[in-house]
Amino acid sequence: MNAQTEFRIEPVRLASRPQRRLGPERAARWGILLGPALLLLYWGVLSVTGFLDPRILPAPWTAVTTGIELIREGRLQEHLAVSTGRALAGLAFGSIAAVTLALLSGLTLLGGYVIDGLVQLKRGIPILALIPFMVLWFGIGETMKVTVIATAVFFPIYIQTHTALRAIDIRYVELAETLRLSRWQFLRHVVLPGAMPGFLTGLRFGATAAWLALVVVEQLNATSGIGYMVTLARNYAQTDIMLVGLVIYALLGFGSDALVRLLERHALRWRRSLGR
Amino acid sequence: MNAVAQVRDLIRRYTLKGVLNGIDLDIAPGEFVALLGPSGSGKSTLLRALASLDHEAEGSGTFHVPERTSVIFQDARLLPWMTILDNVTLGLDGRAADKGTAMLAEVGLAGRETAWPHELSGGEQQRVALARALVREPELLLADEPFGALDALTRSRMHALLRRLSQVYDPAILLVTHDIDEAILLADRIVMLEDGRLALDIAVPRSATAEGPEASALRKQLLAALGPPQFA
Repeated sequence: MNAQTEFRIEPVRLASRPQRRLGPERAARWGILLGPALLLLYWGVLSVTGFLDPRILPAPWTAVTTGIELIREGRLQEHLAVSTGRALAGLAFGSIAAVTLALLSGLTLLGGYVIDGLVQLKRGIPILALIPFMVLWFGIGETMKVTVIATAVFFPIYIQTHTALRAIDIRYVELAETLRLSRWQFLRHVVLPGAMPGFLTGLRFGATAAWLALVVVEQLNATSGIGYMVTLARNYAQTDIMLVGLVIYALLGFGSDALVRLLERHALRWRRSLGR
Repeated sequence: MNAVAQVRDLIRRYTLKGVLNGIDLDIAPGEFVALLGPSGSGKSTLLRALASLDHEAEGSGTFHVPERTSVIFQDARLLPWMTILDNVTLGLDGRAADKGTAMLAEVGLAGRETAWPHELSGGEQQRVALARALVREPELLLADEPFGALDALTRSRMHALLRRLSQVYDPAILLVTHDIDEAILLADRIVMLEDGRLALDIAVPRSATAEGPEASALRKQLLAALGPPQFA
């Protein structure tokens, strides 16, 4: 056995200047849930102590029990499926149109003149102000609902994608020219990945916009969907069901955002940035 | 005519200032030409013209470059969203992956195919750029101060690498540089730009080594041509 002497070299900091870290430390995995958890706690305490009248806002666990009841009756999942279907259809149509038009206006001169001008003009009109016209043009059926959602989704995605696309480094364009890439190869390997960060940011905003538009169109004139369920509950002053609707919206929004962020982490794994 | 690249009376103007005022240059197949000149003399302008990257410039004259021309820039210019191997084979068809892997091994990056560009050092990134240029088997390689941003040690390694690979693949090379020693070390021939014209065109004797008397005479000549010493 050879005796091993252990040497430890203590790090010596030569400069007396304290080290400074400007970026935040690495985020904990579930750290994002802290804020919602605190809110839930606060709300629960107010309900238990009786400061909060259940007729104004029922306790958080009421949402759970009522929710379970609604699921047992089969109503909740039915409405949820209808609502999710509408939101997804709107999201799909809106994103496809947004990306297509962003590419057209970002890559062709004429497209830039025509499309971008129109979009900037339309941007000033709130989506809700368009609903009366949408009803006039598309009726009160599913077409109108999906169109309103798609329109709401379109703008954030178009604007973010277009901005990112215009910001693609000209050096990469030069590279593509010297490598004699075809138009299609240039689009696929330079433009689309270059615009991807912007598209994903837009998609996050777009998903939020989709749920917002969904709430509005479902409360207007619908016979199914979460919004309809809430409107109906309001007529009968069933605050617990209204609360369930609210919680569902929150979960949907939170869930879709988390989903897009997951997508972002995968699609942008080549990046090193402050946020992770 | 057996020149691989030919430039005749090339004139380029940006706004009002003439940058290239009538360039004539022939580059023979496999010839290694270094293009020297004081900053602002139009070295990069000439190279960008030959690479057809000067869409906005006004000018006249003709030039012919081969179909297979590769360009290396001062920055490695790797697409950050693609792995090293995909960067090397960018724009080539699917069968190029093997060639790309072999070329990466040639530049000393075997086994790094799936790394992202940001995981590589500056010198390694520039080696990837070299692999991307050579995998296309160019007849002409245009290089715009490709080692300018590297530290001295890395640069001398890149010199050795470029010398070795240029003997293997034997492209004609036009290397823009402001480094006289680099030009003497690497090139067969040195041309110097001054006020948008080729002021000097000399062959580097094969026997010239970096330390020999021929090299120092050449160095003196080039230094004198680059302009009077700024501080006497």
